[in-house]
Amino acid sequence: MNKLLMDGEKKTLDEGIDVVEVKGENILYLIHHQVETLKIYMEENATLTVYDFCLGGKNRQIEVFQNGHSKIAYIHSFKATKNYHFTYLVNLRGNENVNNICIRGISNSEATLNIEGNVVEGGKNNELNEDIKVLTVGGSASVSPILNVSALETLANHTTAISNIREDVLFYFLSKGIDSKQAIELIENSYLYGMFKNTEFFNMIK
Amino acid sequence: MLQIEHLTVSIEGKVILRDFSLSIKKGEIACLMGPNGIGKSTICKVLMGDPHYKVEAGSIFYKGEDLVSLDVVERSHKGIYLVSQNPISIEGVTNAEMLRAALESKTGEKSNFFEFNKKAKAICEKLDIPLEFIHRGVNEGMSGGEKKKNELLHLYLLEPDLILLDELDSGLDIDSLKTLSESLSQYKTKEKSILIITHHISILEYLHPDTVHILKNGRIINSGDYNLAKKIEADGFSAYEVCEEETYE
Ligand SMILES: Nc1ncnc2c1ncn2[C@@H]1O[C@H](COP(=O)(O)OP(=O)(O)OP(=O)(O)O)[C@@H](O)[C@H]1O
Ligand SMILES: [Mg+2]
Repeated sequence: MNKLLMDGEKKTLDEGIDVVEVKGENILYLIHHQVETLKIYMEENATLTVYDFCLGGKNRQIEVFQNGHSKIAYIHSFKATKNYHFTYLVNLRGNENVNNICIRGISNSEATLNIEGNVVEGGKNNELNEDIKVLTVGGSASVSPILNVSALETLANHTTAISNIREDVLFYFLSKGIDSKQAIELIENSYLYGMFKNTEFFNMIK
Repeated sequence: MLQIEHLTVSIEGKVILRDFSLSIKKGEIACLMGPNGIGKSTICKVLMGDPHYKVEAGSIFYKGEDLVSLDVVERSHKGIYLVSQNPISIEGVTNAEMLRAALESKTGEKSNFFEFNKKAKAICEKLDIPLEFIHRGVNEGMSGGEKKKNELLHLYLLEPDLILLDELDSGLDIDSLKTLSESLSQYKTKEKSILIITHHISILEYLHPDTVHILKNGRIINSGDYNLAKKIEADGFSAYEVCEEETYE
């Protein structure tokens, strides 16, 4: 087990780290990481934003533990040029945790996303938001959201959209003089980089 | 500029235009009117090359060239531009990204970042739209009227020669209609032509048409000048049909 302690930091994850303990306000960058498993433990009042960008990387399983008054935003974009499995497990205990996960991906192959949220009995006012969009370009995708909510006053939202490039969108680009190859590139880039625009992370991955 | 002759067009097996002919000269502003669902937008989409529409018969020549054999991108590069009745929005791709790609594709040269921004800024001022539109997603989160303005922002950057305005005036407030029409009338030189599709004559007060055509039963049933549009506005299409029969008697 290789542990990283974060306390008010902005850091790119080093290879080989599989546990992160978080205090204070932090930003963690994952760029093409060959992470297979990563466990994130949040202390009370900790906040963490994870920017995770992955082009054809390894399958990964992220597990998050929040024990009260903590906040995570997990922002992930991927391009699955080969089969890709992404698992995200959230464990919310205690009161007033927020977990926002936002995923944008492109599947040229087979992308499987398992998102599981457990909101444990005894806590109150927890929030879990999952927003997932996958564009299939010659590939397929499946998203399985599981929500186990046993706590009072939990707010849980899940949206998934899996789609091909729409014909009318393609025609629109063509009619502006952009050929289909360039059009697909523009659309794909909006999925891969759109969430990171105006962040330092954007320059790191572009 | 444009010669459409004896055109028959269908969509999903349903014939919309039958023996439709229309020509638009270089420098001309033509206006096409007709009841709902008669095929006005169909003409625009056929000219732009929408693959859903099938040209069954007839010909279209644009600048002397057979248009039907050109693909959509070629038509755009050769100067045809459509402002659709309901422009779609594209989440995530910004105006600037799309337009730079479009300009690079048209000219074959890398677009100069500073020149692009300077030009886009000047156009925003002319159209009275916020500068931040340039970096907004294409029509993303824009109101109906804002989308139309945004489509004109694209138009002025791409500098087309044949402009198809499919109900530009729908969704525009009075001041915006005036601003946009005036900007178009400044843009229109002797080298450029415009086809206006509208249900109302107010746009024609700013963009004075040389010719006005009425579409019915798949083809043009009458042509005239601005006065014809005024007559339609006053009497409607059904009243107009009576007049047509009277003239035949
Ligand atoms: N995919 C489709 N399948 C079948 N019919 C279609 C299809 N798309 C359009 N049509 C039909 O084609 C006809 C012409 O439509 P079009 O949009 O050109 O009308 P329009 O004159 O522009 O009307 P409006 O004034 O309401 O904009 C309509 O009857 C419409 O229902
Ligand atoms: Mg129409």
